[in-house]
Amino acid sequence: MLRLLLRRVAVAAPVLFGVTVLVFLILHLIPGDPAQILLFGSRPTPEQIEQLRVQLGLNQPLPLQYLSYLGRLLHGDLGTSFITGRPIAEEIAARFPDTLQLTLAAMFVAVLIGVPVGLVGGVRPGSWADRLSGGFSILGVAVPYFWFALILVLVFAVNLHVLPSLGEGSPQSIILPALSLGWGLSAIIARLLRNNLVEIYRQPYMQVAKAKGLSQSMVLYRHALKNALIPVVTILGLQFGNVLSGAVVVEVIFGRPGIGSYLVQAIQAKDIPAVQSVVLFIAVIYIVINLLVDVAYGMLDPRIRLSWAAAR
Amino acid sequence: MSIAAIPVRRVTGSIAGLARLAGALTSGDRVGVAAVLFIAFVILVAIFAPLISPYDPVHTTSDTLAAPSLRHPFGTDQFGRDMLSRVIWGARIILLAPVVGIAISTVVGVPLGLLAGYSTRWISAVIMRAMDVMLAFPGLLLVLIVVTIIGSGLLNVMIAIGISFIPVFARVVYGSTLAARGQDYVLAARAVGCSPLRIMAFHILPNVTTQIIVIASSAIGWAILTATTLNFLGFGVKLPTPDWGADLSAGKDWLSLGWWIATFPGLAITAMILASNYLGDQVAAVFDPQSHWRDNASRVGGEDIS
Repeated sequence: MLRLLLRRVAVAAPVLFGVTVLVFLILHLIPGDPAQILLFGSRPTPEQIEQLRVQLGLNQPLPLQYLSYLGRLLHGDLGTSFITGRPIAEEIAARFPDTLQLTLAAMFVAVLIGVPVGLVGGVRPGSWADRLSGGFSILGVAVPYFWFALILVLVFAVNLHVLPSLGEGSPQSIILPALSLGWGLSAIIARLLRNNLVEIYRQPYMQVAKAKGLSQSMVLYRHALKNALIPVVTILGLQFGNVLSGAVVVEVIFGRPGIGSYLVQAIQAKDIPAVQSVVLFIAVIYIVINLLVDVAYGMLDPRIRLSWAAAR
Repeated sequence: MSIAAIPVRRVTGSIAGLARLAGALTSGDRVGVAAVLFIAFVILVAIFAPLISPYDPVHTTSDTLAAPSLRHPFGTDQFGRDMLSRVIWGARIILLAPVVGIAISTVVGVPLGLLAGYSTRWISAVIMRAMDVMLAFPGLLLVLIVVTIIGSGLLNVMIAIGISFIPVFARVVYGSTLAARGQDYVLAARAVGCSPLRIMAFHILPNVTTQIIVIASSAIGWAILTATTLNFLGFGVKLPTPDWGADLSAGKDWLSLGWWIATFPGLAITAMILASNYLGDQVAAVFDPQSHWRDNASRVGGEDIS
């Protein structure tokens, strides 16, 4: 198992390195003088620009600059945000719990809706319930979540006055954001689970289970669902990054102070160090989670572990 | 046979080909056909927007926040602009974004994939690792990075969408090129002394076109969603330019006074993404019948197949 983990880390490490290079290059790919870009909006004097250039080593060759950037990163120094004047690391630490809460709530909603819908369709393919569940999956992918968010606000906050639309405070305030963010994923889960179940019901071991005289529900829960849920767990892991980046838009709509709305503010204000840090932060989470999903998948399903072993 | 006849034949040939393609796209699955016809309708609306739009989409009037009526079927916004006219003109941008975006990813991604698949290990490793790094970012994040670098604006949003899709094209073409490399027709071309460039362009490329068309058409829905997301966030078009995403964003502040401002552009976006997803399936069915057969076997809401 340790070898498996090490092997996946060996694959992820170069990607992680590349990600830091790309994020580092953001500042240098923007047309113009990096020092001036960093001081955007503060009407800097030529002396200030020169001072920053020396301070950040911007007159050194790029590879050296990258190394010092990496060094600062490893010390947890992400620079200072222009928007708030606070260290970016602190900003992220203060805002991330909010985004994480929203992301997890959205995934919870997705499972809560997606699994029953997929189950209903997969147990009786071709039935009207299956058609309904199929229609749900198709609409779920097509309706843009930012529009869905507005519909939810319109119905539940503006017309029915049952849920708050903006900001935080009450525990209910997370319901609408989580619903709008998790809705698309619930459609993906429903579709995947449904197709898995249809596939599994055709397997010989399912016929054996039925032939043994097990009840329908026993066959479903003991034999079918267990196998059908493995890919669903994987998809949840793989989609984590997409839900996290979708939180960017949902946070803006609902005025939640997470890292997503911070990123949008930073892009608008041309606060490049903040953009770099948030982007890097999300990408690292994305890579680490994909890695964990890969390894967990190998541990859960011996078939995959064996096929990996055979491939090497 | 005269020389003059050749171009004429070529033209009529391509028209006949287009007609055949149109025929193939509008046959088969009923929902797929409806999707193709819907997109054709939106294209016509976009082309003839100046003729069919009842009002000037950017002209402000005193008739603000009027509910949908016969005069204004989709109502008016907070500046008294006719929403129907804005939705009609917005079709231009919604069509432009995926076309320009996917064109960019094709033009850059396909050669990268060919090169990576048909060159030394070193070049191949450099290209494909770079693609891995790009794919290490969630799609929307990659688009936002590019927008940060090149700035906001409609054209830049389209470029960003294009760039974010390059690795997908490169990967698929890379895989197909690797597979084609060992085929007899490539070996034969090498044996008669074709240059690598010639082999890539004239021997391998025609054999991977099908995959390229299939990914391109399946990317349309995503491109539309991303373009409207960025316009919604305010990184794309600047108001008062009529755009569905930007109008949706403007309408979000007027939900309690005028639900229609956000509703109609939102419906239009949903219909467009829905149709594009089906168009992707339909195109895949025409160009790659095997994939269609596989899809049908596990399609959601399909017939009982057990």
